Amino acid sequence: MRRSALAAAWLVLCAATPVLAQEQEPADTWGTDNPLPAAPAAPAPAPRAPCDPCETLDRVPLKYTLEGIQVRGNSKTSTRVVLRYLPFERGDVVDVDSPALELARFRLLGTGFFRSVEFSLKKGSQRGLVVLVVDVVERPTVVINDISLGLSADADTEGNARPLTAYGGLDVAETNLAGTGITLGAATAVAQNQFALRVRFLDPAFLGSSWMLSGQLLYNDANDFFGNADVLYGNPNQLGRRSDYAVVSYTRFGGAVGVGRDLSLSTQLWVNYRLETIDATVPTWASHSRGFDTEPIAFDIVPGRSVLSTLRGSLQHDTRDHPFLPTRGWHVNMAGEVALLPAALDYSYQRLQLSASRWWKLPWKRHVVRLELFGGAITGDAPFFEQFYVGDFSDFLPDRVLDLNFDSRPPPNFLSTQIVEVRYGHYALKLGGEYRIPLYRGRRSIYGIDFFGSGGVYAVADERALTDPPTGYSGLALLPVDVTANVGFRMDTSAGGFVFAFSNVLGFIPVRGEGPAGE
Amino acid sequence: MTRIAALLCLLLVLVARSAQAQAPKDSVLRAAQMEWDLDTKQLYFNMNFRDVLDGNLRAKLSRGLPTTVVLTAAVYRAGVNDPVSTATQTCKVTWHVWEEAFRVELLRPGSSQVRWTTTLEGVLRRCAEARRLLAGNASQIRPDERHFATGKVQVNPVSPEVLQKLRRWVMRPSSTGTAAPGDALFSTFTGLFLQRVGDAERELRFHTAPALPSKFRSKEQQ
Repeated sequence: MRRSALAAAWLVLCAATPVLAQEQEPADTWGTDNPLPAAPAAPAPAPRAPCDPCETLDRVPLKYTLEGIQVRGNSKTSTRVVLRYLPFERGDVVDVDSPALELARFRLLGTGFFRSVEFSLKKGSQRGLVVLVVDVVERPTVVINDISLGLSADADTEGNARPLTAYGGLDVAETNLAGTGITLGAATAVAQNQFALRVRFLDPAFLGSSWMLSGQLLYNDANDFFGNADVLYGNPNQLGRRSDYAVVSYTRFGGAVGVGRDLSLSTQLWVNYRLETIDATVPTWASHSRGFDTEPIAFDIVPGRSVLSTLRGSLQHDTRDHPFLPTRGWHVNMAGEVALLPAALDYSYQRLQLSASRWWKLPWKRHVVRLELFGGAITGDAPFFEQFYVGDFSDFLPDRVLDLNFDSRPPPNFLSTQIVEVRYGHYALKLGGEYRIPLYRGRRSIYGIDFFGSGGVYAVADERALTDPPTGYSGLALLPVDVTANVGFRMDTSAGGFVFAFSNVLGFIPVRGEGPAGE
Repeated sequence: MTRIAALLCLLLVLVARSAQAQAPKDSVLRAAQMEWDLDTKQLYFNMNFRDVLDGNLRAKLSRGLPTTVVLTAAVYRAGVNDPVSTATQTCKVTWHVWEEAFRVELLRPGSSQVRWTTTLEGVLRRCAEARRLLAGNASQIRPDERHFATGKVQVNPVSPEVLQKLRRWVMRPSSTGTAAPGDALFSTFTGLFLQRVGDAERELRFHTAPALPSKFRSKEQQ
């Protein structure tokens, strides 16, 4: 009784299907007005009587010719943007068993523009033709890219050390600007007497092509801190004064444009041109203790106004299985940068760097191991903010945020080498590892929490550290090498990835090795 | 006598706990039947899981694209930690837009059959039920002992290979560049998506109560 009732209901539903299809007029369809000439013209079949099994259908293929694509539910995102992700064109033969359909659906979901994406087929204008219907539900596309908060020890504009200051940064973006798929974002970082701002955009399909176009405006009003010990500096109309650091105040204003292209599923190429003006206030003279000697401080920046113009190319290969908590795969980045005219007279340099990381999932308890390698070299006169900074390699010092340097301290120098004399360098090398233990996996707002412990050895050196090392060091201490370590938690959430690490706080514990002059 | 009853109760509790121990945390107890064919010396598994196709999924059956329902189960002998055999059934349903009928492809170990039906009932009967699904033979099953099964029913499962490809794709969507690798945005974007993809569109985990297989003779039924 129940089965026959269901069958009757289904018969009614089947009979109603063509009526429903006629009632739903395409809201935004291409191709349906222009039927394919080659399509076989045949009358639509009469409604089929219920059959189970339907023996006469055994040889019917499940392939159709695509007559059009209809996108529904996209009030903000333009249909053009949706169609960009669909590898189908009118006239294509659609095999419903092909994984291309499901992959295209996931690809649309992966843009982050939609909460849900569903595909369906409906009859076209002639037998054998179908219209692919794409139903989307949009989602908010303003995202927080990054939040930075930390503690540092910097100095005031007179160079007097401050034991503890705070810094912060925020990066937000609209990733689907006016429904065009273009990303427009802004980032800022602030600390005492320092400020940085970035405004950037990214068009993932420039002029509908497979090239990506990016642009960025930058502004930095910043300070940096130089000198190891016994710092003495002055200006022409000012007597020399002793201080903890010699401070360089500078502003940067400029922008960059870049084009990029996917070379494969996992490889991407970018070329960027950058032009900026720099206005630096630098002490006329300054000296400090380097080893046992007193030497002038090299600030590596042109006093007054200068121009920086560079061309940068980067190649990235990424096979990780997850962006924030990867368990396998490679992430390799190779970049080269050269200074270009007309500004090459101010800063003429070339930089080459390579970073590579590899993750392995261990056979027990889903633990993960990562190995990383970084190597970089600069030749020529790069401004200091373009050089390798020890804090970017030591976990015990804060990283730079938007190129702002918040900390004036030297690295910890656990190995008592001449690394304590180095702040910026032309050469850098790091070998590190990380061990991760999964603590939690979820599907709601928190996707995963891992405990991690990491360690590594790094070296940062300028040319003089290699050719004219400071006095007072001998043997292995001549190598500007130190170790770094970190412990904390990595948390993958719906609001982004967060790292809670303790090395930054541990860096304030005075366990630093001193230089030979006792600095 | 009371002691024997108490011992039996304790034994039953232990066996039930053993079955529970094999089941994942989100597994639910389902009614199922195991049958032992005295002629072929084979174990068959019967279970109804029509509820895996809820209203939303039933509506999607007629969208013209395939829907796959996969049943995988492991059979345990009560009190034994390791499974003694496994059973699997894959059913793919595709609505033919022009013929207005469902193509149902049923794949079982050693057999594959295609049937067409115009009714939802025909789909459910073939895809949302396991009828006489081969689940073990004489070398694996002791027909006079209690057995139970644990397993899952998945609708539109994503294969590990496809999932891996998706993750790489989504992490840096080709021709999108919406998020640069290494950015926190990268995670914000993809975390939402990757978690939602999961392993299947819908999944039911189940376990059955330990029971003696019922006996039948297939040759007599023929």
